Amino acid sequence: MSPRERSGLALMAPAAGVLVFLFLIPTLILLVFSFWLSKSFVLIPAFTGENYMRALQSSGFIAVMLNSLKIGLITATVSVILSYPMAVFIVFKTRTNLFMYLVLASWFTSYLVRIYGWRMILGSNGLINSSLLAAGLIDQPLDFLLYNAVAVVVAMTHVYIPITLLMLVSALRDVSPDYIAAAKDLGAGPMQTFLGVTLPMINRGLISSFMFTCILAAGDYITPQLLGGRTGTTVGLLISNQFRQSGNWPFGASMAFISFVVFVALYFAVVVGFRVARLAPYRRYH
Amino acid sequence: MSESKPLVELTGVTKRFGQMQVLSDINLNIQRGEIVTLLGPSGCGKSTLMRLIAGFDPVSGGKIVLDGVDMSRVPPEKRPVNMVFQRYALFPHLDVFDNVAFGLRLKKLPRDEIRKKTTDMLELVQLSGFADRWISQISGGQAQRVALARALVNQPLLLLLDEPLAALDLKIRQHMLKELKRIHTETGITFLYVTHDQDEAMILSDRIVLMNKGRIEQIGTPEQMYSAPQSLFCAKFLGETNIIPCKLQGETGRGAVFGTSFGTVSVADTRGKTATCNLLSIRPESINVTASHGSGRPAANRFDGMVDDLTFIGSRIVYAVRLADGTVVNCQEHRGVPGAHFVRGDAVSVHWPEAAVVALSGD
Amino acid sequence: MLRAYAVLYIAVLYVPILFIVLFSFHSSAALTFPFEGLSLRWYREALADPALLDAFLNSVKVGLLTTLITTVIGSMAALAFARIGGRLKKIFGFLSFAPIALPGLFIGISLLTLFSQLGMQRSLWTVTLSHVVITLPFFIESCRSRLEFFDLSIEEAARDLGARPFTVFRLVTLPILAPTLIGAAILSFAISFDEVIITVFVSGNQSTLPLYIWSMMRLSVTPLINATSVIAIASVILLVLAMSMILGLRRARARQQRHSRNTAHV
Repeated sequence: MSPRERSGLALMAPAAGVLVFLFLIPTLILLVFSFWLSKSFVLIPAFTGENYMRALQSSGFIAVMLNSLKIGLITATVSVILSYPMAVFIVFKTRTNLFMYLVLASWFTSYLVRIYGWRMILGSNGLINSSLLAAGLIDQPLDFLLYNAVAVVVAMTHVYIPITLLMLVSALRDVSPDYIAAAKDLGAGPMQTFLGVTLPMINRGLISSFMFTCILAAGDYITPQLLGGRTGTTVGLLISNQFRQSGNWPFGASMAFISFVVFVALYFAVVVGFRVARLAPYRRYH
Repeated sequence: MSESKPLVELTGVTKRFGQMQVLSDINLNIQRGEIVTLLGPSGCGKSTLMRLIAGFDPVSGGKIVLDGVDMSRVPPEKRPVNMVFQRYALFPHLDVFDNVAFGLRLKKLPRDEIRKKTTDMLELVQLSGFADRWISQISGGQAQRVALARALVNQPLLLLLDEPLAALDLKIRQHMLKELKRIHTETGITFLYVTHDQDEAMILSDRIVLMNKGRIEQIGTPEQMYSAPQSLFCAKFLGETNIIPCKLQGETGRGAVFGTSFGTVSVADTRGKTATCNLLSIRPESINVTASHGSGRPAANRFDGMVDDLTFIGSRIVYAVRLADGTVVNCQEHRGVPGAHFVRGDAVSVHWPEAAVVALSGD
Repeated sequence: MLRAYAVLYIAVLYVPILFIVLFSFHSSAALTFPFEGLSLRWYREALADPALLDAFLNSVKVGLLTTLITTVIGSMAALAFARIGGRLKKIFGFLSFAPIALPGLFIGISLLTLFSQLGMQRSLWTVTLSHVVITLPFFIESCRSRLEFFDLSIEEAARDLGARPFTVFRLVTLPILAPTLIGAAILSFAISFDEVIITVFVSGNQSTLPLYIWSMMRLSVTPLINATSVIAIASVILLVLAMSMILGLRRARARQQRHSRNTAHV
């Protein structure tokens, strides 16, 4: 080992130690927990798949899981669609960093406060209802604005869209305008250029951006709690309740790992989807 | 510390990275005031050898002695050696002056002395007006001079230059070569210069060390290296040459006669390689091309052929001449009166002196 | 066209925040239009609660300690990336990215189980340790690209010119990387100061500012929450500005800008 590598190893050691001790080991403990049992707030060491069976047989859990998938996928789709033109603008059409800074700054204005803002806007006494009432357009507050999946998707899109954008921007930065010019030079229209050149090149970044948003949304338990009502529940809220209220940690842990597996599977499904649609790079067309 | 003792003595230096043997058994002495070039293709170990001398990597075996002191275990900051890096490695957070003064400040010299030495050095490299520039504000050629000044100001016993001109344009490169020679003359500091460019090595060096696959292939003056290569690798690496397979037919004193696919070739001096020789090297410029006079009288090393192709390179013409058996030899002539040259299809005869043929053994 | 869209995008991002700020100054308790008048009563009321100051100070303490730990070990780790390669780099790259690829909830519950297994009392210390788990990856990620392009021959040049390893770090490596590291440190502070998803699981009796706000939000919707939120946002902005000033980010930026400005016309 060269002196350079040796010093690299020494420099890495503290961070690696922290991540192993505070991330890897806790994850393993959680995994072990998911095979334990809990009887009236007492943990019983065991090795049983009971928690997993219970979760998978619970129609409530399945329904919430499907609901979170739905909320996550819609939030991610909306975020990506809304952010792509913005990313194109930031990367290719403007030289100033102002827009990027403004987006990042909004990300740093408290997460909670932004969710609260939507509660203020969408609530039955909220800004939309009170304005509509005052304008005489309605005589009853619109109840469907808050405490449902739509409110959750709107707020989550607002909360997580800066991350979606950030990842799209960094993916697009790797696409040299020369490639796009070359595609046009060879006679490709805007759509052909996008599907044949840009999309395959940003493929990874696009998938990461999409999945990141999706996972953040599905794992969020605070937005559903504040805005979700009955139809806006996510697995995040279900799991956090097991840890904070019911106290059945092993059951909560098993649900966390089931969700993990589901979202990893979703990730691979999206990757394979792109391959099949021939939008991934290094595919032969002949 | 007698003057006759070499400044640098490398004995049996080896270097391994993991399983990979990068340098094997390097033995080399460098005299005071010399410019020695380590020349070789990329991956031949020349840069590694330089890093060992600078002290950035430890040797796996052997000894590096500098001015009589064993340096093998001495860290780079304590070696009386300074280096000019390939991409200059100038400090981007310091201006030109502070870059050059960096080493002097570490030696805790008095302020006035630092100022004087740095200013003098900037003058030597002709950058007097640039002291206050940031590194991002100077051109490649200027950065090169700053890197040189930063190293030279410490008056090292040995200056290491790691492909210092590789990143520069051809014109600036040629100019910098002259500058390097001038600076070498003015400072008298010993230079060890790494390059893969044979022209740089030829122009600059007192001696060339040709390296290949982690070994020293041959050491000699540029002239020796060119006219008397000891291996096929050396003959091919330095300049253009025609390589012709051959078989021994008979010895003639120090020389020999070899059979080739197009006839017998006499060699004046085989340098003891008569027995093992299987290749002949003939430089294009030592081949004479004349008009063929039909079936003239046969002479030693004269063969008939036909011009296959010709290329003009500045003041020279290179003919590709196809001999009777199909062998093509490249011959280089000076360009004479415009139009007075052979054209494709002309019947010509080629001739080279016995002394111009180098006998080699190789595969 | 695209520019108009970009402006709209930014505007929508800020609309909820603007409403919150607006109604924090509302003279009545209603969070509805019509707007009845300006008043500072909610700010007075918010600041009258000693629990807010406690929570604020706790958040500052946790934030600073998190930033300190993250900056020291994060800088070391980021420097390590330029020195290692191959499989080691891949493994470490994965390890240092994984915590931010997972939802905060996952980190929160796994740390909760760790602390309970170790018998650690939940306190501001456990909160700080937990924050490091996510600030560290953000710190490393935000420095990595800059540090991977860091030319190690610059360090070798300094050693060649007579600097010992620590001197090299002090005179060359640190000054060159300072702007990047300072930016990442401030990012860490902002993340820690705002963190609530993980904090919920690992905090003890002492509240942090986001936890305090959350407990308010779950109870009611009043302009008091707006005022408290604005105080939280304003304090993070002020703290970040103060940190940048103390750490010399402005000076470093200015110098870099001078560089690029001057390079432009050379």
